[in-house]
Amino acid sequence: LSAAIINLTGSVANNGIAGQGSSSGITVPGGLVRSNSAQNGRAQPYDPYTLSFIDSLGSLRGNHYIKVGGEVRLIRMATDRLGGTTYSFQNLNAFLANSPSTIQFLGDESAPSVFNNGATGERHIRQEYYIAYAQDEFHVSPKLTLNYGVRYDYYTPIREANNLQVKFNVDTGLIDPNTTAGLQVDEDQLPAAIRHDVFCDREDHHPRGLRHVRGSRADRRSGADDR
Amino acid sequence: MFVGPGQTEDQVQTIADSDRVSVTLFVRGGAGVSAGSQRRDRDVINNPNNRSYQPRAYRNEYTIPERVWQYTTSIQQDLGGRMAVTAAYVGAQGRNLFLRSIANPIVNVVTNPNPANAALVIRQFSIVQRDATGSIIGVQNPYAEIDTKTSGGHDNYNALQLGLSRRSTNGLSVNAQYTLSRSFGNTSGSNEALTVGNAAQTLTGLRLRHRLQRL
Repeated sequence: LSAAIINLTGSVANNGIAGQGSSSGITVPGGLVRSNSAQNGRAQPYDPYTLSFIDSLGSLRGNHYIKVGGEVRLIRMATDRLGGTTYSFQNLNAFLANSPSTIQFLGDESAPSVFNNGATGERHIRQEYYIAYAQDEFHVSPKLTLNYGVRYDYYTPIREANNLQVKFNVDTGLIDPNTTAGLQVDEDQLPAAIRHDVFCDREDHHPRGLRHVRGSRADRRSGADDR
Repeated sequence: MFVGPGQTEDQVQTIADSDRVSVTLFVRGGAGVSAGSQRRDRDVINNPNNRSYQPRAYRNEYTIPERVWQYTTSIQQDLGGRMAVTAAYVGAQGRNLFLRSIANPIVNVVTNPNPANAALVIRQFSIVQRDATGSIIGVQNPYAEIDTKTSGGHDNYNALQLGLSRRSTNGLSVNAQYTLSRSFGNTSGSNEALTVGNAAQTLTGLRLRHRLQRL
């Protein structure tokens, strides 16, 4: 332990990122820092920038000063998640005896992807804002001025430039395309003597008996329920 | 009215957090377990039914933007002696706010066939293994507990603010402020949303806050 740093309280690596908690718990040994509300890691680099294209046009017409304008904002961010290994110990004696109760391994986002055909490298996040507005400053009288207008903002869903994500379907329990089929459960791979079913019903929390399989093989996956 | 795109960190997790291997090993009998990345990748690839994969997820109905209507009215009375008292009402209505929940809650817990071992916990999407008589003999978990995010939360905020201020001749001012507020709803929006069993239907928030601020 002479070269190790043991941090029993931890600290948040980058609390400037919205969503980071304020307490890290015990994250070291392992050299890890708190990466978000659920995970620890070696580092969580963010490399964001935005490009805004803004213009407006004003026109004075009688008692009206009319102004229209808009903005296209391009939001770009390259990011990675550098994971690590977290060792948990039941107590101090277990720690001193090097006897962990659990070992949690968390891979790197940039490592060859198990779920996206071995894709590597940083993920490139994309989002756009499209904004338009029109307003009028109406001088009704020397003592009365009306200001009114409308504004429309459209925010595109955040996406990955190379379509690298994992889309878990909370209704079916499946990983939706575009991730690989490797994650999906193929019951043909299970021992034939074992009968199993899959719980998919939020209302009925009791076992539903043996699962009845029908349809194509492609449909017989975890959560592709046939009820 | 404030309209916002929501918190980026809430919306990037299928990209930034889900596409990587996460494995938890329960160690019995001490250390010596390798946690090397290649071995763990193989574990995940070769055990699709029991890898306890933990992606981040969103519900299909998750939409942005979040919307907050805010309104206020106040009245100020000069008390003389360069002192003034202010009373204000502040209200806000939040709609389509951020919610979080669990995609695969625990749906059943059954006694282990070997009573000396821990009970079998069955989550939604768990694979239940049975013997020929239909008795449960094991549970496989393709997924660990999956954190799920969506929108549709609401919040209703009402506050009474009382303020007392005094200006001095040398430019210094002293303020005291008291706020009595009540927030009622099922979320406080991005980064403040609590994880609940069914966030879309559970009313979780009822708070009464008193705050005294002196400057």
